[in-house]
Amino acid sequence: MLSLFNRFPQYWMDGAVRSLNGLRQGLTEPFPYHEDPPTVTPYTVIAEEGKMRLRYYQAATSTPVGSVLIVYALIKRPFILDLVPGKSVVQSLVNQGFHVYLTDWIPPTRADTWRGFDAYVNGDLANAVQRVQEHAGIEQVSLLGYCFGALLASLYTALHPHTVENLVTLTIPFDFSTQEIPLFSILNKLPPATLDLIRSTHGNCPGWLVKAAFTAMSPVHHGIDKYMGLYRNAEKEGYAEFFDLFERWMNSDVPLAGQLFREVTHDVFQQNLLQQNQLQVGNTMVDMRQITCPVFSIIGEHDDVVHPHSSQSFTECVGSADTATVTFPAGHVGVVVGAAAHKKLWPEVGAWLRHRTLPAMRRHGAWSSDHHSH
Amino acid sequence: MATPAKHAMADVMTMWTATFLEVPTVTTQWSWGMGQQRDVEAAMWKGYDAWVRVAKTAIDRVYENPVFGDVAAVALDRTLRWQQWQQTIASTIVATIVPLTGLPTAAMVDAVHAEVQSLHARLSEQTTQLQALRAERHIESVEQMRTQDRPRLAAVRTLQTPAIAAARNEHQTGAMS
Repeated sequence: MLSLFNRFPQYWMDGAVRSLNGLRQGLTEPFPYHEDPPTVTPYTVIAEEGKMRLRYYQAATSTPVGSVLIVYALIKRPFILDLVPGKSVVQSLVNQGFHVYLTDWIPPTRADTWRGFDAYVNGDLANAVQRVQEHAGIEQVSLLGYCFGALLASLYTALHPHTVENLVTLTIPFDFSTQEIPLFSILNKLPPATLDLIRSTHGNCPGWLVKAAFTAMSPVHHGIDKYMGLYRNAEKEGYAEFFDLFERWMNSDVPLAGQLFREVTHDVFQQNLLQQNQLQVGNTMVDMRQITCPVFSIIGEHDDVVHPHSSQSFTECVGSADTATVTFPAGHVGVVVGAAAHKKLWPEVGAWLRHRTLPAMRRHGAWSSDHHSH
Repeated sequence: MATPAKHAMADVMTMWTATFLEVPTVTTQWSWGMGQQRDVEAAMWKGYDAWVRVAKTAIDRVYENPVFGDVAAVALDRTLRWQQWQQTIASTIVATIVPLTGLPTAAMVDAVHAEVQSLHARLSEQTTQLQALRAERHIESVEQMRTQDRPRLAAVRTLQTPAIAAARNEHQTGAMS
């Protein structure tokens, strides 16, 4: 116990160095994404257009069961989905026989402040889906979105339903009619003029501002408790290495394009236009009832970033007859890196997708007698 | 079902009893040889965990206070306006001085960066085309060589075979002797 007083300052200083390094990365243009840690699962970049690099992870089985496009969030870097062996969403899906594609978003620069939902959804994400269709030889793509990526994936599916075979949403921030996260009370008080001021002053919403908001959500945890946890679990095998990688991800905040920041905070968060089917993307009003493919919504029961109530009504608002909602006992990040999630949740996700995915060879051949109809 | 307020009160009680009751008790027992160090540590961590929950709850209550929200929103607005004013002053001074020093502005650097990216993309595209052309030419030349050289190679093979056989025989004869 006395060694705590010796180790805590060291842990805290290491954390301060990580934070400063994250600040440096966030202020660097272009963002130095080559400084990401090495991935667990090997991949190749099959396309790079707009603000998106499309990664391809080959299925590990000799008879692949399908293809999945993971739509990652526009906040922080995507290596949280492939952090360590045994706690990697990408690895789990690849080992279950899926060809996995991942949107590796290129952080915006000052020249990209104009980018909003239209550019990311109808531009970059549409291009990603098209590349997957060409690469995998399929007409419809299964999408899996995480957090903000789930929001993008659901917008895309509502606008282009004919290209999506299945939609899996992980902790989707959908309904902001009741704002249970205490910090969001402050966000709700920011007038449009202040939101515009962020854009006019910085162009994009800077990475340090995003990090400050996340830190303010749990200042005691980020300032003290996580280091106490490191001390208490110092003897646990692999804990320190995992902690280091996880903290690198926590400090990998990237800027959010100015127009997108305005649309997310004012239209989605403050006005709750998405849940009311009144959000306009490009020239089209987004209607969630246009989502008619099978939908699987995963909610983190102890999520303190996207409150469970925010995700619960999503499957009720879509037009699909085949929907499922799972509330898993984990937090916002626990659903992707938790040991329990990889033991119980991700095999279930793989099974759900497998039963609703037509392999490419069957898609382009004659319909077989066991064809699934949605 | 317990309300958040009841949870908070329970955590405060846990923190108080752990700090002022349990820790002194187990520490005294341990110092007299009647307890173990791990009991002391367990009591201290119990108090610490309760303190963390109490602190989090207190901070959440502050966030939910409308007065705090108003103050934070105004503070952010003022900070941003001050940053904007700073940037305007700085860019005005820089715009005046930069032509004298010959240093580039951010806009100039951005423009050069965009041009370099464009050149890089064009170079990659042309490299890919060149590699494709080279591959095509290599295949053509291999095919041409096979077609033209086939009779000559066959002739060489025919000529060599008796010579090689003769050399082999000579070698074997020499080895036996």
